[in-house]
Amino acid sequence: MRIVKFHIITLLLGILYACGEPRDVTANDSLPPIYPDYTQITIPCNIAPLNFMVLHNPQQVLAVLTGEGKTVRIRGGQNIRFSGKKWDQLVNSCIGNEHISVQLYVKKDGVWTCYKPFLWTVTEDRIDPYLSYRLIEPGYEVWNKLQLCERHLESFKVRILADNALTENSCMNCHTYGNQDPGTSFFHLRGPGGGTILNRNGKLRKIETKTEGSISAGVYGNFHPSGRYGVFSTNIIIPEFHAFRGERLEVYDTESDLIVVDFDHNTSMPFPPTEKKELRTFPVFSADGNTVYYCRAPYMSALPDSVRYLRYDLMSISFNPHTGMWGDTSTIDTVFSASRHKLSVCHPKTSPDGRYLLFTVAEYGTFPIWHRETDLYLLNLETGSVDALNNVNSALSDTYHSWSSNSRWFVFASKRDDGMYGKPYFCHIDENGLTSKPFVLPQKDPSAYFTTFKSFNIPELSKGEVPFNALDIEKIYRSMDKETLDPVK
Amino acid sequence: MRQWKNGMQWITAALIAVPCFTFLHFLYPYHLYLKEQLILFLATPDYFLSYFGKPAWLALYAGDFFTQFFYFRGGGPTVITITLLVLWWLSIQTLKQFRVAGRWAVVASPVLVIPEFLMLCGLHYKLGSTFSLILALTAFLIYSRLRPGDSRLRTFVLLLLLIPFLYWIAGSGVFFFLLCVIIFTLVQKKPRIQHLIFPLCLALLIPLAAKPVYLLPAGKLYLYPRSQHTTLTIDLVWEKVLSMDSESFWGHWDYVLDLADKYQLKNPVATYFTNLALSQTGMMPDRLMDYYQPATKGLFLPVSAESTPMTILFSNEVFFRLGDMNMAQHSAMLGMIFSPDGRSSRLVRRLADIHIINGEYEAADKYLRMLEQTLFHKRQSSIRREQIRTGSIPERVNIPAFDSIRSGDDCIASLNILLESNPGNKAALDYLLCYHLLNKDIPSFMEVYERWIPKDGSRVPDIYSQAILIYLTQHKVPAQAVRSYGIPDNILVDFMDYTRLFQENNAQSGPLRERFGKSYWFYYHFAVMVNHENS
Repeated sequence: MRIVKFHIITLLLGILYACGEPRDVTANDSLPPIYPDYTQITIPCNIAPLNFMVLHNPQQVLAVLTGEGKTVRIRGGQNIRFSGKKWDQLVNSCIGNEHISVQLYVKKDGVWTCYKPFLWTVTEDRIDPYLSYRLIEPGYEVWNKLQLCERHLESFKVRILADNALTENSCMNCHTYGNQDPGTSFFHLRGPGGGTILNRNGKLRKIETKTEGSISAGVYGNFHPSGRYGVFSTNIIIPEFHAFRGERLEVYDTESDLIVVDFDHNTSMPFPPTEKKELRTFPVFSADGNTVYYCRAPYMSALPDSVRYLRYDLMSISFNPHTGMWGDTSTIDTVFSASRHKLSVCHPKTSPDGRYLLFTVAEYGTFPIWHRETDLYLLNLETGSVDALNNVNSALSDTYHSWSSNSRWFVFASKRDDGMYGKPYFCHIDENGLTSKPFVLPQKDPSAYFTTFKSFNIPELSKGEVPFNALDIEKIYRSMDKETLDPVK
Repeated sequence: MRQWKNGMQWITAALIAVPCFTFLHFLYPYHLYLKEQLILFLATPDYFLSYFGKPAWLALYAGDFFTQFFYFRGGGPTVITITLLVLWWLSIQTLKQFRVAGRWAVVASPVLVIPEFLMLCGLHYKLGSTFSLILALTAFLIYSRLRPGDSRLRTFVLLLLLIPFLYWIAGSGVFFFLLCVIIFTLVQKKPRIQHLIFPLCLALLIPLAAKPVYLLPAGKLYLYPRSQHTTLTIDLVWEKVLSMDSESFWGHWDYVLDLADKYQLKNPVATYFTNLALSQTGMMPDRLMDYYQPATKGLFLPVSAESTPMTILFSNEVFFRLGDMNMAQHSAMLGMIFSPDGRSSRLVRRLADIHIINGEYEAADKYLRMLEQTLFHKRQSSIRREQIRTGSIPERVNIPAFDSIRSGDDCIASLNILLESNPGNKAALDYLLCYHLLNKDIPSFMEVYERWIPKDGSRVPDIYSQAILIYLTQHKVPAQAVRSYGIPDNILVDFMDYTRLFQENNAQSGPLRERFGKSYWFYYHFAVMVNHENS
C-alpha cells in the first residue's frame, strides 16, 4: 500500500513539475510558427475562440494571453484550445480596439523558447454571426458529394442546409443572401427535381429561371435590396484544362447575358439590346437598388485560343425598382476599365452602406478561383479611388467575397495555404476604409484544415440562421412543382 | 460427447480458416491490396469524429482500422480469416440460444460465414460491414443473457436501449439483431407476440428518426454500412486485372508484362496496363500487337459519366508516367472524389508525387502531412520529404514546359504538348504514334513520325515499319524512297508475303492469322472498330 501511495505521489509531483513554469527559457525574436497564422490580426468581439497549433512538433506549449488587466494561461501538447468561457471573458474585456497580447512558450527537445509576442486587436465592430458556404472537393467541374453548410461564427456549430445525398447527387450552387438577411436567399439546385430555390422569410419556392430565348437558367445572381427582384447572369460555360504547372482549370463563357427576375410577378426581363454582341456576367445591385453593376467583355469567337485576351471591365447600368425595368443603354457606364490595365474583373459586390465595391481582379478570363494571381480590389464609390489591398491579398487566389451587414467585415475564399483548397478568411475594414490582415475561420481542432479534402466555396455572411434545412430541400426537390417565368419582351 | 463436439469445432474452424486464408493469400491478394488503397486511416481526433456523421461508426472505424493491415502481404488474409472465425464462433453461440443442439450448431454455423466471405471478396464490401454483423451478434448474446423470460418491462427497457445504441454503432446490423431476437422469441416455450412487435417497430423507426442527423436517403439509412453494389461472387478475372494495376502502381513493369503474357486478357483495363508497361520498358513499338488492342481504349481510360469509379481511379496512371502532371492531378482528384469514402491512401500518395514533380511544395505538404498521420504510409512521406530536400526529381524533365488549353479528353493535345516540351520523351512519342496506329489513322501517324523521328539509320521498330509500308504503298512511293526509311529487310519480305497471301485469299483473314495475326497489317485490315459506349 505504501508503495502504491509513493507511486501516486511521485506521479502527481511529476505532473506538477511537467505543468510548471518554463525554466531556462531561450528568447527568440521572431513570431512563433503557428497555424493558422493568427499573428497581428484584428478580430471581431463575437468570434469563436481562435484555437491554433504550434508547428514543427513541439513537446509542450504554453500561451500567456494578456488583455485589459486580465491574464489567461493555456497549456497544450501542440494545440492551444480555449474554453468558450475563458475566451469570452478575455475578448469582452478588450472590446474597443484594445489589444490581447499573446506570448508563446514552446518546449522542443527539452528546451523552452519564448517567442516574440503577437497582438489581437479586438474591435467592437461585430461580424454577422453566420457563414454559409459550399463544401466541395477541388475537382474542378466534377462533383460527387456536395453540401451547403451554415457555420455559427460565435461557436463551432455547423448545420447542413442542403446535402446532395438527399437530392440524387445533383449539383448545387452556392447560397446567396439579400442584404445578409437569412430570410432572403436563394441557391440553384440542378438535376431533374431542381430549380432555383428561393427563400423568402422561410417560405420556399422552386423556380425555373430558364425562359424561352434565354441562354441558360440563372447562374451568378444577386438580390435587389427590396428582395423583390433578382439579377442573374445566363451563361454557356466551358471548362478546359491548362497544361503548365501551377495553372489548372480555365472556365470561360462562349455566351453570357443578364436578366432581372421579378419574384412577385414571375417575370424575366432581358438586358436591353446593344449594338455589339457582348459577354455580360456577375451582376449585382447597388446598395440603393437603382443601379446594376456587372462585368462586360467584347464577344470573342476564337475561344479558347484567345482566352488570354478575354478581359472584363466593370460596368454599371441604371435600374428602376418601381417598374422593374433596366435603364436605357445610354445609362451604361464604365466603372473600372480593367482591360486598360490588362486585367479582368469578376464578382463585384457592393457594401451594404453603399460606400464600396469589392471585386476580384485576374490577368484574364472569368473564373478567378483557379487563377493564382487573382486578387481583391476595393473601389471607393464616393471618391472613385481603387485600393489593391496589398495587406489583404496573397500570392495565391483570393476571391469569392461577401460583406457583413455592417460593412465593417468581409469574408473571402483564399487558397493562400496550398494553392488547392479554398478557406474562408475574414478581413476588417475600418471607418476610413483601412483594411487589416485577414484571418482564417477558426476551427475547434486547429489541424482540421490539414486533413480535409474539401474546399470552402463561396462563403457568404448572414445576420441569422437560415430558416430551412437539408430535409426541407429534399422535400422540395422530390415533390414541389417548379414555377416558371414569363419573359418580358 | 464433449470431446467429439470440441473436435468437430476445431475441424470446422480449420475448414473455414485454411481455405479462406489460402484462397485470399494465394489467389486473391490484389483485391485486398486495393481495398487498403481505397481508404486513408488517419490517427487524428478529427478523423475519428468524422465517423459519427453516419450510422455504424464503431463497425466502420474498427473495420477501417484493420483494413490498414491489408497493406502487407498476408495482412488482409490474416485479418479476414480471424474476423470470419470470430463471426463463426458468435454464430455457434447464437444458434445455441435458438436451442439448436451443440453439434448441429457447429454444422450450421458456416451458413453465415460463407456469404460474408463471398461478399468480402467484392471491392465494394467493407470489413466494417462484417464488424457490423459481429456487433449485432454480440448484442444479441448480451440480450439473451440479460433478458429473463418473464419480465416484460426489463425486456422492453433492454430493447429500447440496445436497438438505438446498436444502430448507432453498427448501422444495419441492427436488423440482424432483430432477426435473432425474433427467432429467439419464437423458440421460447411461450412466445409473446408483443415481444416481436415492439423490437420490430423500434428497429424500423430508429433509422427514419435518425435521418435528420445522418442525412441519408431512406434506402441507405436501412442498408448502411452495406453497399447496394454488394455481390456474392468471386471475380478471378478482375483479380488478374488488379494484379496488373497494383504492379503498375509499384512500377514493376517487367512483371506486368509477364502477367500480360500469362493471362492474355481481352479487357481494355488489362490492355491499358500492358501498354503502359510496354511503353515504360521501351517495347511498345515492337510488341504492341502481341496483345489485345481495343483501339485507343487500351491507351487512355475515359473519364466520363459512363466510367466506373475503378477506371477513374486507374486513369491517372498513364498521364503520370508520361509526364502530363496537370491531367494526372485532375484524374487523381476525380479518383479520390469517386472512391468509396472520398479519401484514398493511394491517391494521396499520387497527389503528393504530382505536386512534388510540379514543384508545388505547399500542396504536396498537405498530402504528406496526411500520410504522416497513418500507420504504414509514414515511410512514403519521409522518402518524399527527402526528395524535396535534395531536389532530386528526375520526373520533372518530362512535364509540360509551356501552357496551352485543352479539353479534358483531348489526349492528342496532351501528347503533343509533352513532345513539344521535351522531344526526348520517348514514352509520349510512342503513345502518340500508337494512338494514331490504333485509330488506323496512317496519315497522322506519318506526320508525327516524320516530325519527331530522325532518319539517322537507327533501327525502325517492327510496328512502325509495318505502318510506314502501308503508307508508302498507298502513296505508291518508289523503291528508292522506301529504302530511305531504313525498314529492316525481314519486314519487307514479310510485307510481300502478306500482300501476296492477302490477294490470293481474297482478303480473308483466316489464312493470314497464323503467321501475321500479330502484325499491324492484320490489325489494319481486319480489326473492327467498335464504339463500346454504344455497343
